[in-house]
Amino acid sequence: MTTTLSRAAARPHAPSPNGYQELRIVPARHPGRTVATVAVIVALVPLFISVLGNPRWEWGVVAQWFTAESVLRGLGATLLLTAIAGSAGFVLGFLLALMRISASPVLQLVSWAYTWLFRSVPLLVQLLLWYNLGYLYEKIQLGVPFGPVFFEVQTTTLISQFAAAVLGLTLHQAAYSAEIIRGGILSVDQGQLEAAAALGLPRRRRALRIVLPQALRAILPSAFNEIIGLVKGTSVVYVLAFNELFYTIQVIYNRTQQVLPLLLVATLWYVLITSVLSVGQYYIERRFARGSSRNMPETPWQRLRSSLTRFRPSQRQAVR
Amino acid sequence: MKKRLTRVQRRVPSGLIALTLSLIAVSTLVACGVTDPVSAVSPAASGAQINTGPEQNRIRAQLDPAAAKLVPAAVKNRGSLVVATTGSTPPLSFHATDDRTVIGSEVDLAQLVADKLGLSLNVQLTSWESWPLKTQSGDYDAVFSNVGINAERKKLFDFAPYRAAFMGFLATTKSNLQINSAEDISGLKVAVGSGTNQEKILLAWNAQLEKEAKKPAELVNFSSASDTLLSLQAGRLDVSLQPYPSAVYQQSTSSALKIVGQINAGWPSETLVAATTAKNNGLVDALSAAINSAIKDGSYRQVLQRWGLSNEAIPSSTVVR
Repeated sequence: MTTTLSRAAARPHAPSPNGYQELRIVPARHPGRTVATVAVIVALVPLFISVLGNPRWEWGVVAQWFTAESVLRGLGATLLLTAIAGSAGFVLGFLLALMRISASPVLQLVSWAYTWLFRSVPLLVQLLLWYNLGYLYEKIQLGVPFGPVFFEVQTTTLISQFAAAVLGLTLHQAAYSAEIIRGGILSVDQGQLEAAAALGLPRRRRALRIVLPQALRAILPSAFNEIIGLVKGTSVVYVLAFNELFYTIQVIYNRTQQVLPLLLVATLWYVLITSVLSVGQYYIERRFARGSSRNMPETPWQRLRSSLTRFRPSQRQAVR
Repeated sequence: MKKRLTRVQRRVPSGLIALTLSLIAVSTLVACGVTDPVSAVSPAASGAQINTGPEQNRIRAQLDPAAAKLVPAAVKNRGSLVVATTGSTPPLSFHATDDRTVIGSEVDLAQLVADKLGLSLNVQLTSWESWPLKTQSGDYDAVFSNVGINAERKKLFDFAPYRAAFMGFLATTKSNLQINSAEDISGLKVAVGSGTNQEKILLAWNAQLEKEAKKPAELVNFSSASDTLLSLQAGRLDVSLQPYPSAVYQQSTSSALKIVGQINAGWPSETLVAATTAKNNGLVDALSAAINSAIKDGSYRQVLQRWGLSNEAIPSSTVVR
């Protein structure tokens, strides 16, 4: 026989005649869950042992190169490319999204055509075209159309490896960001716009304080997805022989022939960057969720704290 | 009464702070310049030690006035020879232990040519996909990157040969293959670089096998020697075909590989590796004269010896148009 206690039945200020003090509180048992937990641990342990123990991973070599100067230089270049192409791509994407939802058919069409073109052309082809623009156009001239030329420059001197990489990645990123941002704006409920208009808010404030914060809720997960994809996507600029992280790794293993451990070095750095970005994403999303959920979800830190203090009776005295 | 909308207080979310801090941490790591692990010496095929450090102390040559006269005015006025190389195939063209300096036999030979013509050497890194366009557009004066002469390339480029070219079949030490002709690759998985001379040979061999109603080889294209290496060691490939010098280098740096065959790169005839320049840009005669001059004074042979490539020396360089 077990006695179940419901909160409603327990009246703290009217102790029952025999009192419940002598009853031991037993936590509910979940045998299925326990078995599954143990099974997963048993399956994972050999996996870890094999990853750490197989000499072919050459962890010593990984440690040796992980913070090598040239690897860090390549990492810096990757982060720089990601930062520039990511931010410029999203700014351009934002403009394209606005053009797409504007009332002008010309702006709509141009934005649509841009997105169509840059989502169709493979990034590799685009990079090669920018890099070899000198093959198509020897000089680039600035001036009045059909009029005098103010400024003339050799294409090759204008477009370096870095410039070609930034151009290609930015234009490519802009097409995808435009769609993400447009989707976010469209996801804001029509009623919100009507309510804001009914309150007589000026247009600008409607856009900035009503639509955008709500649109961001839909934009953020996909945007972070794109940025994380871009971090690794920058490795495609190897075709320009530009020294970013992955190209540097290739340069090293071409000389030393230690392919796998060096690939691991690159992977570990990518894992690190992705983790940092994911943490950032969690907190930013949490901030923009304020309007939608009544109670903020606990941060991992808060969850840890509450799980440590949960079974302290002293904290559970008061009835909620 | 109209209620004024108050501005919501903006605090910077802690995630953003964490993000910036970690980015700063990484960039300071980059800035303080941890040094690279260095083993500046790799074993060469001949048992000689190859210097893979950034300090190359290259073998230099004397100016040859007769060759220098042949240089087109545009290049002469610039005063430098812009040479492109891929930097991904040791010992021909790869990166030194600082992972910045491009070194190798191709760079050394380009240095000799520049010296002979009285020009300074400007080495540009390129990818195998990029060099043809960049050379035609005039961004590069010449390519020194193990480019073999073939009929298609002749339509677009002029050539000044500087090495004989052999190809080497590489397999794991466990393999007991021996490859000399088409029959030997029947039914095998062979790795080969796309758009290379060695690919053309294998395609010709496959055509021959099909004529004899035998099973052709399956060709696998990897973009770099190292990707090939990984697949070889994982047992996904039977052999890989690459320039002989790089096969020798890989055999000497990895205990798991061995060379199981050697063929001439122009099979069935001979072919040559050449300094490649855009068609009719007038530079090819100067390049060829400079190479011949270096062959005569012995500096050419010294360079090949230094990288363990003596068996690929040629007696003289004749322009191919």
